[in-house]
Amino acid sequence: MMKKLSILLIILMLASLVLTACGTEPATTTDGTEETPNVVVEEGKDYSKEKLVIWSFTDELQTAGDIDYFKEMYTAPGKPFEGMEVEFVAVSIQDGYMDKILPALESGNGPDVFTGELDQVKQFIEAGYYGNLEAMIESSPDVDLAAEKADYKEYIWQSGIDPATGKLAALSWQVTPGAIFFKTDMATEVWGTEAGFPSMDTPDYNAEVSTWVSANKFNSIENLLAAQEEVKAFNPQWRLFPDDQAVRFFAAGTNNPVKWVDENGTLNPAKIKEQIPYINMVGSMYGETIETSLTANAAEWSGPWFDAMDKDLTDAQGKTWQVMAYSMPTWGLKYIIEPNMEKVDAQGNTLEKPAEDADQATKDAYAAAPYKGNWGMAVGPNSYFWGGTYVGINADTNLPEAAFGFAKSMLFDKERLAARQAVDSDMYSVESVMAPVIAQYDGRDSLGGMNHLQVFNEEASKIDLSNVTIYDRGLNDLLGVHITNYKQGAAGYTSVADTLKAFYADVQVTYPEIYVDGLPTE
Amino acid sequence: MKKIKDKVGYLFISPFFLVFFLFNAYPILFTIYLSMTRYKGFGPKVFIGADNFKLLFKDPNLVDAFMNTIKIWGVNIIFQIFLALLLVMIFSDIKYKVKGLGFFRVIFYLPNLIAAATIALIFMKLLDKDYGVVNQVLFSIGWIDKPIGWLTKPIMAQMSVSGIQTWMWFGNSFILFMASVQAVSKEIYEAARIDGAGRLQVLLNITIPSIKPILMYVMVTGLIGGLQLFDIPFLITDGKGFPEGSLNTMIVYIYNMAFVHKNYGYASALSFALFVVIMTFTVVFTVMTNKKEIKEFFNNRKLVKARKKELSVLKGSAKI
Repeated sequence: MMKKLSILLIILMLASLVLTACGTEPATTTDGTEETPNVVVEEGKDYSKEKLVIWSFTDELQTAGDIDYFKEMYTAPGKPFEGMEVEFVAVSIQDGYMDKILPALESGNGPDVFTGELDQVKQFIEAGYYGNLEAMIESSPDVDLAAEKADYKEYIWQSGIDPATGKLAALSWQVTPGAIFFKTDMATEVWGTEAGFPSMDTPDYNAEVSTWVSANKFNSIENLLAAQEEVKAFNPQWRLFPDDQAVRFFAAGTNNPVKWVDENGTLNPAKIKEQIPYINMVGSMYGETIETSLTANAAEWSGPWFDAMDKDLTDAQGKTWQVMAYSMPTWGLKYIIEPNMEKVDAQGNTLEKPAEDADQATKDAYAAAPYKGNWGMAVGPNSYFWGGTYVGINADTNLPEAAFGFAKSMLFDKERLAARQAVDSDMYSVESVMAPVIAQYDGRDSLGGMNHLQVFNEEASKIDLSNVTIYDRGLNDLLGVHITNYKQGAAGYTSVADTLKAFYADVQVTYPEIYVDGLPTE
Repeated sequence: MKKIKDKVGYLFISPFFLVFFLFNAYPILFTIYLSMTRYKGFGPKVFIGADNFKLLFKDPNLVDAFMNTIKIWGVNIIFQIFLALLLVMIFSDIKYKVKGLGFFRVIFYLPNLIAAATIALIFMKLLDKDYGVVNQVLFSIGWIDKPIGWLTKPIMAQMSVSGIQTWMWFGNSFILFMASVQAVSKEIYEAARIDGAGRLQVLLNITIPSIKPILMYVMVTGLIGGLQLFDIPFLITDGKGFPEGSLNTMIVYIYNMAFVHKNYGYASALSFALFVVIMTFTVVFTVMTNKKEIKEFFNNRKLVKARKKELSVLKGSAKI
């Protein structure tokens, strides 16, 4: 009997393995091309029995009112999908968004609409999970493909294209270019005597200082390193950056970065060479103690990292340190830096931040107080971005017309986008929405009235994402581990060549499909 | 009727097999299957035979990850058992008559109830080299003149994690040991005391022999858990084994291979290799620590066989 039971169990296991191994394939026509889903609303169809499922890695679609807006415009009485249920699921990256959505998509039971950051979107596209958004736009009577393409930031449109078909698969209403936010008062003290540095009585002082710093101090990897040394030399207790993570965005050092994986599908030697100045810079920045380091050794997102935005840091020995600058994208200014900036009273005295348990009136008074206005926004050796939410439609959705309706409300409804931008003041990727906003913008108080949207807009135009591959995040992570070992002088890491050899050994086991022999070590 | 009754028995035990199949056997078999594929977590699973297993021999991180795990686990288990035994010695000593055992049980067990993420966050703040509380205190009392890299020097980081693991788990071992000791008659301890036995003699000759099965249980479960060490090493630094890969334990390495680098095939091969190692260690450990029982078992088997042989010879001669 036991033998029979064992045989039965083995058969069951094998059957399950076979069943699991059989994934679902996207709908195709007889000639092998993908079928364009119908995005026209079916007349007479009872949508009250249907449910549109939307997944996102952020709850923004809920909190910004996008789900409610869609319901109001599409599922309310008298609207095209009257009575249709809309289910929104937010799973943060930390809670395993990818680990949860990938099996769901693989099983063919994924959400109708789902979002992703760029490298996730690249994976979704490669796996064929996103439907052909471009074909849906073309078949829709309400959206003009050519006009939309012209209206969107080029890099955002490019980055959502499926390389296999050359067609758009996902799109983002946001642009998230980054900058180097810095304290202008510290910069003035360090570099104020240098030729061409703006005079204190210049009307747009913060903007002028930002332009000068961008052009003279942050414009190349070499100058960025020199700027750190100058800050430390000016005042041994001052540091330009909190830690070396602030310079990771400038690893390429150019706006035309090389691809990590070349046309042959293998690790690109040119990319390795591009990274060497960056590896050297990180090595030079490191010090075992803050005294010997070019940074304040305050790890990104740690308590001291936040604290250094508006106060002196006190280390374990009781020594104090000040940090001048942070590399952050659009959302970083609003959600990370501004909440930690100094605020002042009418006489210009710095206000004490209210405690967590302070009464509401004190908190309101602090919130209403003006910023000190001692921050500027410069650009680094190359333009970069961090984050961004892309929207795409499941290739297997049973409700393509409703899914496309949601995509339309998020991406092509310009009135809605303008209203949304007016509330969140973020950078949007749609020119027709941003152009009037930038033209009429009074400037950001926290940046001394600087028109930071203009700078972000210019930075966004310089970003070229045509060279992003699905390996980028993994390879950057892997190289980062070895750079850390190199800068700390770990055993076996005495030179850049050692670092690269160790990196290649890792690539060989982690991504064997892209590894080749004979990669450069200098 | 009897046959039907026999089959009903299988029905009663089937829930166990169902759960075992779904949550134990199936994942193991599926891991073996994945280990023979190239799979990114999406798209097709390309069958590549034993290629992933061949990579195990080229992997520069595999031995380091395994040794890191052993080091962290080894130090932890030694201190965990030492501390638990020390407490058992104090609480079981009839001379001390320590009151409030229930209260202390709760106190010692508490660290085990705190979420690993919370513990990691607390110790990150405490042990930060430049801004941490521990170094701050050591500086203020003049014990150090330069900051100690609790989490930035490889050996210190490993010892810190071992210390945290010990703090989290010694209470659990203490409760198990104490339950076992309480089953021993107090008269034995009293007799030993009257005979003039010292505390160490009592520990070595009464306490440890009486808790030996539980001690073995703690060692084996500690070994299995230790080789699967993940949460604290993953959370307390950068999740990639910082510093210098010293916190890159086997499971941290497997996790990053699968969920960061999307190489599910190789991660499965690593998992399978770890499974084999754990099995081997467990068997070797069990054999080493139960030599006497195993010897007895085989001797008994020999005796039974010999007896059966004798009986069959007797039966044969009786027929003749």
